[in-house]
Amino acid sequence: MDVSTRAGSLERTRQPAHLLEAVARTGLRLTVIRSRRRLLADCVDLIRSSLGLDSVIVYLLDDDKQRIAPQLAEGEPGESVLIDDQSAVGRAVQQQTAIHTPASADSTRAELALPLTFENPLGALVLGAKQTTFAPDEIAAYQILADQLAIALYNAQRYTRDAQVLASAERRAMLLEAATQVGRDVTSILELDTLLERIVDTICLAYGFYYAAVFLVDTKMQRWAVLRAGYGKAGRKMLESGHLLEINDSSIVGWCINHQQARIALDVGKDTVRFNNPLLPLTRSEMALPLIVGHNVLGALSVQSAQEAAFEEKDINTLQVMADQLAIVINNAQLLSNLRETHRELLRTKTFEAIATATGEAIHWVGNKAAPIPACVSRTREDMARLIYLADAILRRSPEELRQHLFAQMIADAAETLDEKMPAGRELIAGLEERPFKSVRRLLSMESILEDLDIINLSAQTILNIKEDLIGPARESQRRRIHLDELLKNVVTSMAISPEVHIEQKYAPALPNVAGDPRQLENVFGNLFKNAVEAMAGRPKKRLAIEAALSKTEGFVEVRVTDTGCGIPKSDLDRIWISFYTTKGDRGGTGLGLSACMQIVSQMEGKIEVESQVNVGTTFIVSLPALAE
Amino acid sequence: MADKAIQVLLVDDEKPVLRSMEKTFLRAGFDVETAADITEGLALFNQAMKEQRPFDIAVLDLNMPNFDGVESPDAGLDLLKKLIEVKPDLPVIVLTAFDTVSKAKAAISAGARDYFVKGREEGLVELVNKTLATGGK
Repeated sequence: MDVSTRAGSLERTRQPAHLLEAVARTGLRLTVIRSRRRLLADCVDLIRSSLGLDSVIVYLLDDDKQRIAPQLAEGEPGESVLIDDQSAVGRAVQQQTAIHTPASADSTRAELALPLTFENPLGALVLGAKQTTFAPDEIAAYQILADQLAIALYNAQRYTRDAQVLASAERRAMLLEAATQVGRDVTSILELDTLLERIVDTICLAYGFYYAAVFLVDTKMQRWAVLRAGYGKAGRKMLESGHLLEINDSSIVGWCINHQQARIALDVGKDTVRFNNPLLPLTRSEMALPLIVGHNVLGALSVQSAQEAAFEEKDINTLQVMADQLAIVINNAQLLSNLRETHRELLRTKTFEAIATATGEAIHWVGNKAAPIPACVSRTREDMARLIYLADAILRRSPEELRQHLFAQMIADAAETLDEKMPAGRELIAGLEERPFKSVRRLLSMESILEDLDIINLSAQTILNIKEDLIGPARESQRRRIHLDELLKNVVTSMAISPEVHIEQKYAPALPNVAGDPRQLENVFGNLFKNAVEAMAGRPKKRLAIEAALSKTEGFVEVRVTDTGCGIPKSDLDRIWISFYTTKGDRGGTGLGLSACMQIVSQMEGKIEVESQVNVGTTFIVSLPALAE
Repeated sequence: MADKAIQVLLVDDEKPVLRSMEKTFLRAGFDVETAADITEGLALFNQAMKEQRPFDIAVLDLNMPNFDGVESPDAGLDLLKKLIEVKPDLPVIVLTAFDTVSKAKAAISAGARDYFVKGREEGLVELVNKTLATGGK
């Protein structure tokens, strides 16, 4: 070999080595790209720059494997060509061999079409260089590159596919997990409104949805589904505006309730739906799931996503599981709410009855107490006037000097005033002089005057005392923490019950506290103790037992007040709450306070009941919610 | 000679009310005997009968403890019946609370001459006079 040839062949020898090195490096860099998209995007520049090529185009096989399309710079495939022998690239794939097109009159570039194959044909790699030809070892080197690219492509595709499968499985798992989470979160909530709010919040959080809402069928107007909870600001705004939808096919939610079936709406693909709620501008897909319990459709759950085609038909199953669970929870909350309302209504009626009756009776009771007052006043006025007139009359017959006395003038003055105020006053002493002392004596009785004043006073006091009992429940109550055993002991002590009555007090250890107004509660028990003592009047055995302990009902404390009195006949057991018993005596006495007691205890969210046996005794049971501390 | 004063039997278990009514009757010129329960009332009545100075009229509260000492809305009625049994022509006025006028009407069926709703004492004296005028003594 001569030197020049030698030099030339040295050059040649160097080139392939350099090229191989470059190919190896490039190939390495390609194979680490996992994303198919990125691979396609990056490989062209990578190959071109590291290998000094003029043009690099990757062709990928169509799905039908009949055509290949070049992947253009923007990432979109260009026009595809048939895999036949009409083009170099077609031939490369068809024959699975490198097709070399040297530079010609038409083009100053040499082109090389290399098949991209790994296990199966994937496409082709077309390289262009500003040289006349590609040398055989260049071709060999570039084929190695193409093989590496093919591997990279294959892996990336496989990775993507795997990733898709994985993502799908992960998605499924995530949906189920989210369903469980939602379920766990909400089953303990019994308050309907809190529940619904939680549901939409939890769903959006767990699934990452853009928006979720719960519609419930209006119980009165069965034609409408009313928005009861909506996620976020948009939800709140729609709630405020009283958003509702008609139950027909005009909306996805309406359709869903109408047909009791889930429905997906997308703004792409077939059956496109236009989402035009200004409050939810990012919605691209929506799913509505019916909330059904038994044969009853309660409403619908609507979920919206900002992603296109976010919902697939197979998602319906998973999400419906969650929706079914929610339907049960909502149903329970609704039932509970109805029950509570019914109970409240009942209590309101009963309490109202009790109050109304008590008020009516109280009113005429007060009237009765006040009855003697006018008569007493009238008598006192008469007696006082008579007194003055008698004194005045005697003074008029008295000697002048007596009449000049200060006292006499005072009397004369008083008599004059009476003349003005009581025009017929002097008649009170008319004809008295003729009568015997014995018969007129009592007309000037100081005792009588004082007695009448006493009666007035007593009547007034009685009425005032009753006022205390009556406004007991109506008094503004303060809520305090109450130690029951202390309170009960205090009431017993302050009442100074007769030693004839044997009092037993039994308080459970570690008795929970209750919340309420101590004064009102003292009134309640004071009343019960007083009733008990009075019921035992004339009984051979007088025993008052006071017990406080945890109630059988969880969360409640029970106080039992038992006496050995005459008992209450069965027929009266209901009446004791509404009767304004015993109108005699100065404090209304037995039974007055029971309707007040019931009201106070009800206000404390407690209960008061009675058990009794005639001739044996009576037990009042007061249940109060225990303070959770 | 002055007319013998009208003899009134007054029975009511509320002491202040009883006393005030007694004084009203006294000042109206009646003679009054009072009882705070029906047992005592019956005793006074029988005593008067025995001494041949029967009462001219009885005024009874309806709602009083009965013969066994138990609160009863019909105790006054029991006394009424007992009195009428002994002296059928005895005029009796029953005192009734505002909302138990029906009880008062039942009393009239049982023999009472009239009823008076407790409230003001005003009118009671007139009623007594009227009752006595129309068929009493």
